[in-house]
Amino acid sequence: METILELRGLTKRFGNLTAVNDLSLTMRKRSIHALIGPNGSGKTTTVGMINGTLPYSVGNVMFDGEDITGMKNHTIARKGVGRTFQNIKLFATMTVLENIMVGGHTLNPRSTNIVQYLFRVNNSLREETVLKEKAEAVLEFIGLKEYANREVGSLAYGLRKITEFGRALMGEPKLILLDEPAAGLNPSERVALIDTFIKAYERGTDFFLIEHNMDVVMNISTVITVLNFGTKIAEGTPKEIQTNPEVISAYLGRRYLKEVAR
Amino acid sequence: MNRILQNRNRFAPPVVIVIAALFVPLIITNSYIIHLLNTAMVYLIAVYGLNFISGMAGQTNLGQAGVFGIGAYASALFVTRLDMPAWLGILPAILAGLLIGVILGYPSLRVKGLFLTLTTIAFTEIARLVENNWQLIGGALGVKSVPNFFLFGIEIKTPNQFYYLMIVVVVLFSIITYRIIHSKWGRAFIAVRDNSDAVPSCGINLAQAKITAFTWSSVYGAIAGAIYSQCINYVNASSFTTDLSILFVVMMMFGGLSSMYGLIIGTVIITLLPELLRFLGDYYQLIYALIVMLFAIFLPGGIWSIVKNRQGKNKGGPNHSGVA
Ligand SMILES: Nc1ncnc2c1ncn2[C@@H]1O[C@H](COP(=O)(O)OP(=O)(O)OP(=O)(O)O)[C@@H](O)[C@H]1O
Ligand SMILES: [Mg+2]
Repeated sequence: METILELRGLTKRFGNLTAVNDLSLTMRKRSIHALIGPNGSGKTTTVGMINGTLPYSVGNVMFDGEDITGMKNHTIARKGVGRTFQNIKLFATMTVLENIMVGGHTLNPRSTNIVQYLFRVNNSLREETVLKEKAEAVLEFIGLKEYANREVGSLAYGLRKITEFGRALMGEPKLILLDEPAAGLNPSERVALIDTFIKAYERGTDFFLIEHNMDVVMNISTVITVLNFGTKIAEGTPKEIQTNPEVISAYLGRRYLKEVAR
Repeated sequence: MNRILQNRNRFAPPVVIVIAALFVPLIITNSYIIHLLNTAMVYLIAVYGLNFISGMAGQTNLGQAGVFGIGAYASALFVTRLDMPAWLGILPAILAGLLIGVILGYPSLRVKGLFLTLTTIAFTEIARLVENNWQLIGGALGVKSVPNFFLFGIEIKTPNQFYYLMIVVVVLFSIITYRIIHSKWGRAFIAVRDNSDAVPSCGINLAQAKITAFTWSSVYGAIAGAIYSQCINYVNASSFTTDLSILFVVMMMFGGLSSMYGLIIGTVIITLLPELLRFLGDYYQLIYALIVMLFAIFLPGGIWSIVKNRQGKNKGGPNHSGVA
């Protein structure tokens, strides 16, 4: 059993608040690993540490057999870790296609410099065409082809979420960290999004998934890790987690009640 | 076929503009106006450069006049002291631009944006003070009798000759600028402005993207300065103040950010404005400030945004209903 991602004793403190406390977990290759927990339990913080956005002094992160502890955010991205954000972070003045194309920077980040690009006209035109065609293929894959030339700022919320996923896919990552991808989507959008995830998963991308929507989590995850106040309280298959008393009292119970009330 | 049509659509307006520009000296015989247009074209190169770091990457840079001045001095000193042909003066300017980009950009762009604004203001003032007081490079007198360009044995002397030379230079810079804007680097610059948090996740080194934009900005600014020294045949520190830096920013914003048409319109109008408003006499400064302010409030996207919005409306596009 090969490992794609391994966290060893990760700890993050903001002042005297311990957002993530001695978190260890192992994520198998070819799996969808979910990280769930109440609001403020440290899920986004964990993602930030994995992809190098948040500095930390305690713990290690291994990705695909390599210690990536302390590496820069863009270096980690180039190694094959993509990410989407809880509060969408797109490039608002660019078109959908251009946003996707920016995601392609991980592919060959050091291929040329600007001066070479300016002189080798044919080469650079070809490179640009290849990038564009690849981005169009991604748009086709996520079902946003007809929106290619729309400015992202003018898109509906659900479409922006999908665009952000497309931008991550464009970089051909081995692993995508998804921070609440289904939040704010209506049920039909949610179904479409899950279908897209499954398709991408079948093409070879693994997912580390943070999500509050239990329909999504329980249906697509292989393994679930549960956080409470920054500490891991449980880990197991969806079935095991659903019946774990501690998880129910700390998280699921409240959550399920809320869902019913809606 | 489709592609050719698309390209024709894109390339037709610039070709028309260039052809129209070729006729301007035949219609406008006032050589002072031609001189102003020449100045505008020189400024345009500095503004094209500024657009990389400020317009596209969104980092406020009030140092472009300092860069412009250093480019002018580097070129003028090189040409006059070493008795070099005028066009070779471009080389030390490029070198100066590169050095400024790395030396100033590296420390100030790694931290928050405001730091860049402050360091660039300080940079302009320090450069001006040094230029003004260093006797070795002419002190308060500056550098005089900077020679003209020679092109195929012809001396570029009259405003009209300089005008045609500048048309060629501007076309060249416009093509380079267009290609950078529409490259992966251009998109990275805009990404920095639009949402810098998401930039590293796309595999882009954020600090390096900013430094690259700033370095290109400086190289353009320094080359513009070098050409300027030959346009007016002397160099004097008193021209390179923070006022000029602000003027570059106004030129960039007035026409419309990161649209090349906008940059051209803004630069030409702002350069000609003193002449157009000359009849106002003492009230000129006041009216000028008012015009700029009104535009900033009511047309934050610049003049070009009017044209662009109209195009946008005609073009249309799929609406929200067709969710994937
Ligand atoms: N930059 C920061 N500075 C200080 N405290 C922070 C910072 N970021 C997060 N926190 C705190 O750390 C804790 C964990 O936050 P985090 O965003 O990781 O939670 P989360 O599990 O993603 O929650 P949610 O479900 O609401 O997204 C919270 O108490 C939060 O207030
Ligand atoms: Mg969160």
